[in-house]
Amino acid sequence: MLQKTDYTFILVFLFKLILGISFIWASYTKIQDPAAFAKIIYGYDLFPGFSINIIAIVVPFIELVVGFSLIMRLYPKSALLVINIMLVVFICLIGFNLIRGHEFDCGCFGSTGLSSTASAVVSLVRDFVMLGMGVFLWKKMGTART
Amino acid sequence: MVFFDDDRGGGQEGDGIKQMKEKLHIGVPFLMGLAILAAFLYNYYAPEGIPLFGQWDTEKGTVKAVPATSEKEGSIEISDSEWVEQVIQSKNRLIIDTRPKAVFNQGHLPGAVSFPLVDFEDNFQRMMTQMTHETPLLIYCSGADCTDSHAFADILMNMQFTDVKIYTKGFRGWKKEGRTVHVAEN
Repeated sequence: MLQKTDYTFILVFLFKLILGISFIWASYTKIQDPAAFAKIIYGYDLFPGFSINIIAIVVPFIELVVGFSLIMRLYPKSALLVINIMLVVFICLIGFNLIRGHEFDCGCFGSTGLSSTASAVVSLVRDFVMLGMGVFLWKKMGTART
Repeated sequence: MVFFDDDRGGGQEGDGIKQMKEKLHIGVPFLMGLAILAAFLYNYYAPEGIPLFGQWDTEKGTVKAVPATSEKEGSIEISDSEWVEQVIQSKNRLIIDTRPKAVFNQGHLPGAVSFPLVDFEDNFQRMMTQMTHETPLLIYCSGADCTDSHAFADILMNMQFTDVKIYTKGFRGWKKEGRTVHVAEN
């Protein structure tokens, strides 16, 4: 019969895996095509021109390193802190653009089947779910058997 | 120096909290430093690496992570809307809108014809009934952040079309300047 602490242990393990793999996967596509990621950053219309390429170069590797660190237990609490901060930033960026009605339109809408607004809402929900996992992990990591 | 956090905790709660704070002070800078170093090293050596600074000023043409370095690319880009107005008035160029047809119908530059990039192969025969390889062309898409017009122009220039220009501000820039927009009749 599984105890409450066993469920907690399983959830911590699963959430670490999900968060870690999500960040690693997210970084992979951006590292493969930094020019396209830079275009996306430009599309948010929130960053000065001189910073866009640098953000596009650095952010994917931060995602990669913290994703691996969380799974491999290399400073996992530090990695989790960075992950949670990044998720909050992503949520704020997407939410701010949704509120001000800013849409990034490359003239190709319809090719993905989702308008830019629907895509942003999906991303927002996804990031909130991941942040929930991150907050849960932050509270539980460091207790016995986790 | 301990690299691996012992997140199993243990001992007094006060000791665990003190231990966590100390490791965050080490762990976060360590991970960030590692990531930044790896990022710049990879970007420097990878074929897909980009410059530290891109071209993100819409007044200078299409925005992109890699600034235009070829004279040819710079010479076919037009950002002067007054020049485009003259083209529309004189009708001395075929104006091509590369956005999807449904978007074109909602509004386009006066005199423009719709040849969506996504339907290039399907529309090519029809397109050739309206022009030859020597026909002066002006191509546009949605705006300075759209590269469809460049992709369309590249295809045409590879097919030996001799006079191709790109209006880099696109429909959004044109409309933002308060210029005349035509809507397709239903």
